[in-house]
Amino acid sequence: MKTVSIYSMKGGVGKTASVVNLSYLAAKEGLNTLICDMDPQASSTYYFRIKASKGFSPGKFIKGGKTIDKNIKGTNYPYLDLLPSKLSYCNFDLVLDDLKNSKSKLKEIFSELKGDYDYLFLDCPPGISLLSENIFNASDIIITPLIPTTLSVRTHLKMLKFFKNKGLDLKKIHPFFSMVERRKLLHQQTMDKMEKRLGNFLKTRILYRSDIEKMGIYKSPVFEFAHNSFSAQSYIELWSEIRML
Amino acid sequence: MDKRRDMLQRGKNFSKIERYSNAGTIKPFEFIAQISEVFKVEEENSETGREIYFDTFDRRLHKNGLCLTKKGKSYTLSESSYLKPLTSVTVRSKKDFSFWQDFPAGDFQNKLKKLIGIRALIPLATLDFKNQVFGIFNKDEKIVVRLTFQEVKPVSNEKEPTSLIYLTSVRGYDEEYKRVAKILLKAGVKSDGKDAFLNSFLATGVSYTGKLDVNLSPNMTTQRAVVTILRDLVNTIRQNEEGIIKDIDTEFLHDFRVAVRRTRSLFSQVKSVFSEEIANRAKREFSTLGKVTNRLRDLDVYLLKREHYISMLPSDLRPGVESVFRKIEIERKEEQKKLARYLNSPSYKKIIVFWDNFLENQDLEEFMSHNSAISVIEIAKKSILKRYKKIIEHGRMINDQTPDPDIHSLRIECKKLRYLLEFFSSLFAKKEITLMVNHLKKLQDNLGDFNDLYVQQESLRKFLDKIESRGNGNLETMAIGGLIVVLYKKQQEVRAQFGEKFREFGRPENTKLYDKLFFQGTNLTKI
Repeated sequence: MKTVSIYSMKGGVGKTASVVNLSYLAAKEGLNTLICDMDPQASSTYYFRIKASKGFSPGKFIKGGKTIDKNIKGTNYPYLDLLPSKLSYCNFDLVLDDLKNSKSKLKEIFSELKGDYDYLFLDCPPGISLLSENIFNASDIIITPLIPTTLSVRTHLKMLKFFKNKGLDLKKIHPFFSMVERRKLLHQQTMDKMEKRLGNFLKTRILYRSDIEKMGIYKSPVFEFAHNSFSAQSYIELWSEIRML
Repeated sequence: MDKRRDMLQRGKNFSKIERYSNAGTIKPFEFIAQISEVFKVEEENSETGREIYFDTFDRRLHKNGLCLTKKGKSYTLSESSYLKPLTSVTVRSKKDFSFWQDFPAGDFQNKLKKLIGIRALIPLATLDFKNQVFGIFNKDEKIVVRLTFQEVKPVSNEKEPTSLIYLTSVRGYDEEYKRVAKILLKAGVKSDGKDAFLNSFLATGVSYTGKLDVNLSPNMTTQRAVVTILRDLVNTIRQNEEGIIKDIDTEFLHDFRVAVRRTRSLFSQVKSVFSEEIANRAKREFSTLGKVTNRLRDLDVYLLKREHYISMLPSDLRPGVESVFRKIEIERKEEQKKLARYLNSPSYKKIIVFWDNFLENQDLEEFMSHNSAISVIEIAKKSILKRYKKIIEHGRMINDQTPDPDIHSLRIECKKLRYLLEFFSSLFAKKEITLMVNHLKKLQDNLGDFNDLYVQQESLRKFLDKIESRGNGNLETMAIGGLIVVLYKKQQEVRAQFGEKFREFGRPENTKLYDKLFFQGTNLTKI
């Protein structure tokens, strides 16, 4: 099972759209796919029209095993399941902090799922926390959407610094440019600069497009309502790159 | 959009699917109306098509609790109830896919290979189906259950189509599933447990087994018992005719020959059960059936070992051996045509129809001989014990200096004993007979390996005669010579193990077991 996190310290960079569309493509291939929504905003959960059970909480989550099993729900699409989140996920750090293996608890819990799924996608909350560190430890691949602006660059470098300080594996990180506006010279310059400096960006760039925003209205992956669009094609290319990692 | 049309489905399928049979009295829209009182229902898709069911002649898939269906260009292997697909593959061409090698590489091919081996898939039945899938939504517009209305009709007959309803769960929405199931059951629909539906139309086609399936009772007369066994054997011979004529796969000929061999062994080991005239006729005619199938079987065996031989050679030397196999293929085609002609001929029909009719006779008094009326249990014990004794005596004389032909004849002796144990197994306690057969099998395996390695060497020697030399002809000759040496060495290793295997076979507990079951007065343990 490959664990792929879509993570960014900043919010609003296209994380959820990426999780929803990439996981959809994985499932379309016949790969057993699970989305684990880790964000208290529960956007992926919302897009798939799912609600977490009343009794579910971070406290229950860390029990792992059967508790996780019971709360996983099937999406409307074959081979695609989702473990929903809710507002109380904002307490995750508190719950994790109490534990002995506080940094690798998630890794432990997710490893129980490896027989059932080929891909695990994690929709991560913004910011940087103990939960984030758990996610970094648990992931094989960390996909980072980045809007090509100055501040995004700063934030990304802070993420790399965090990794270095905690002794985490930098090779897991695979950034890509998201919400790119080709008309903006700043975007183009930033992308050129960052690629030169850091070099390991994924080749596919996701452009800012209204059909991606419309996913919230249709409450579905972009392929369900605009499958011939440029955005759909971009996500297909992005998925083929990630598939190869 | 899907660049890759080959989808390999694998892994867990978390949906629960239940099938209900709808006597057709309740219309789909009535259900939907009832369900709509609680949930929103919307059609998701509909599909019409044709589905073909496949299995091997000996129903290997069915025996493993599985079934294989083809829809369009997609082949799916599912559990027999046809509710849980396990793996599937989509092919590109329209040709017939009969053998595991015909399918594209992947999970499906791997599973199929393990299940059907060298047997071919045969279409069993074809169904026309019409599916209508409805999504049942909760108030968040989420699909929580799926409802499928299906009408199926076997293509071959003119009966009315059968109406079925499938309920498919969505993970995590069990409560909703139960609610819908309740509504269905209340409306009078019946839950269709196992594969009652499938059985009803797949029941066409006799269940075949190459194994001896005979139930004897101890106080049957020997003649009656032998007739019972022969009926089973001749039946097996007949069942395999068509597969040989149509050249479906190589096992038909194999099973045909095994049945012929067993028949000949029965006549030769259990003597004086029929008149001399009948006994001689049997000897002559079943010997003919053996002879007429020898060449084709030899060629089949060479071709089955083709990959094996070629893989033993370095690649630059393979073309020479490949050319030999091409010649063998051509000869094989000729032999198969010849045998098919023979099986369709009056001379074959004369033989087989005679035995068919002869064995149907209730009254065979005029064909009796002096063992006919003796109770079978007596004869069974006597012949088994006699054969066992011979093997022990024979085997004890073998040492390192014994020439190979003696080992081969011991192998034949063991085969004879094995056949006897199989003929008469129903007369004895299952547990003990199984134990004895297993012991014998261990010895037979050693002797069989020995023989097999010998046969391989012989085939390779024959290749040497046929091989086309290419310039450096000697290289190929040396390569094959080298192979023969390797096989010879292996054969010596197997021979070295014989002593121990034979001692195992002849050890006191085993001999005691023979005494216990077949005691006739001579206590073997004293030999």
